[in-house]
Amino acid sequence: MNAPESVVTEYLRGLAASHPEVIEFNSEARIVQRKLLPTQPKVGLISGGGSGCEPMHSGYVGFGGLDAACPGEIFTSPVPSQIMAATERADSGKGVLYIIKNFGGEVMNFGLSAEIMKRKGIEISKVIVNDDCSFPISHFDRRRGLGGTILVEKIAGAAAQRGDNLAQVTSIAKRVVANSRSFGVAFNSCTTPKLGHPNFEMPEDEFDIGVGIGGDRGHSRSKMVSADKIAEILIEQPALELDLASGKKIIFLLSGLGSTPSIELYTLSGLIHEKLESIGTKAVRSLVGNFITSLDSFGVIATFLVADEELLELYDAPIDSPALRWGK
Amino acid sequence: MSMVTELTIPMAQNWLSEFCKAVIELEDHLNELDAAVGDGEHGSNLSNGARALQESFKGPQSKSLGEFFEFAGMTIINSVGGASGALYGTLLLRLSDVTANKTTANLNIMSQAFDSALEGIMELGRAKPGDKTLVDALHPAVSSLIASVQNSDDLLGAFTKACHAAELGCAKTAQMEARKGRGSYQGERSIGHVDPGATSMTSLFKTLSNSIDFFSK
Repeated sequence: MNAPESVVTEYLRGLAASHPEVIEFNSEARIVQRKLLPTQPKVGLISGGGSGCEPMHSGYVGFGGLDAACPGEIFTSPVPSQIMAATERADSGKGVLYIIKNFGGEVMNFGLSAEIMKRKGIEISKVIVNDDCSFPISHFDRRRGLGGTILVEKIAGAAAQRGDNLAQVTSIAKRVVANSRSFGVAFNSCTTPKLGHPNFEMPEDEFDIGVGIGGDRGHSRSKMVSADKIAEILIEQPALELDLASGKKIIFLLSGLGSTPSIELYTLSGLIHEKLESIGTKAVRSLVGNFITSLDSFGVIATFLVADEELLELYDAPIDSPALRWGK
Repeated sequence: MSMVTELTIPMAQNWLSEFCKAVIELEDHLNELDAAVGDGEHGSNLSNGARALQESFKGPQSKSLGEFFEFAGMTIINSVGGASGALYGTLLLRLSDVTANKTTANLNIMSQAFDSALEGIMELGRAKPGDKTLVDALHPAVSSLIASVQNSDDLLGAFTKACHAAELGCAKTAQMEARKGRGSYQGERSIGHVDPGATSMTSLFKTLSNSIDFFSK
């Protein structure tokens, strides 16, 4: 990077320069928006969150995805002026859905913005994503929005594109949240640009279990184990909560946290596929790569979504965004 | 030395200017505190807001305390980000509501204003005293202000005591386990570190009592 102060802006300029036919960076409002407005009025979708988690969310702006994204400073939620500008851009008269990850700052800033936009006559609906199952049910309010957020953006985006109304798109988004669970592990701490050193020390032969995004420590630390064992750790709690033993179809997302080599990701993906099949569940769609990250963390987040026919159909529908592109 | 009995617009502006300076000086310290329990950005985010606020003070002076606090609150909300932007912004907007159309505010009004700010912050952040958040500095300070109204303390005495209560409350956060915000992800491991939000909140009261003291001389 050139400087910590300019890294977010330079990233956004670079993203827009690399995908000029799909998105543009509105530098005045500090939002990333679809290049072309929809040809037909449709429900608008916006999301936002701290930068450092690329390609989330700006990478999912485009046809069949988000209409606009609000990138905050590093690991900091966006501010209401951004969210309100994104809302106005996304609104084509059928209302706007806010896709909010369950982090205090996001819930508060999107909540404040929703109140203001409703007074201006724009219909707003909210979905809070909390697919993180690393916290026990007794700490349900701490569950963060992780990889499930991307699946909400993709699937609700397709529902909006096919012409669903705001209530229907919201209901689809909530169904995705209810049926998805994520679990993460990390082998180091990321370095935030301004701090300039890792947020915390991690011995080389240990790793954190139950991590999210944003450079937070996991819930517990363990001595290093094999990839097989890590696949088991990632699958255990999601499988339990989603009742995966009973022959279900799932959409599987495995995201690196920023510094995880593809060879490691696909190794884990293969092991997870095998373990799923051994309990009678099939991952019928898979996304493996960097989809939700935490700067330069070395780690993974595994997300499992139990998908019915409608969710699968919406997942397969065309999308044209910087980070997801198929079917068009 | 003249006894100051009311907060005026110039005092409010001096207060927030001094708070901005303090936050900018504390930037690295707050980042380090935040790295221990959160994402290491509390100082940088608040400093961004402080710089935006300093810039906004160059504009025309407000006609009422309500207008001044509303403007400051909206500036903070739209420049800080994260939970702290929404929470500090809410605090200032609540001060604005209670001081609407007033050019001065006595201890009774300021005590009501901070009580309303506490209520707004606890509602938005869903945090209670003891959760290891900025509420742990704000709550004892507000209780102290309410007691000062009962005791008929003078303005400077009341805010000196409130500042002391905030400092004590902030120090106590070191022994608490975080139950809200980023710190809560650390569970027991958050014990032993002072909360960065409570630290910046203490600075808000420190600069306010300093400003009242400054205008008393």
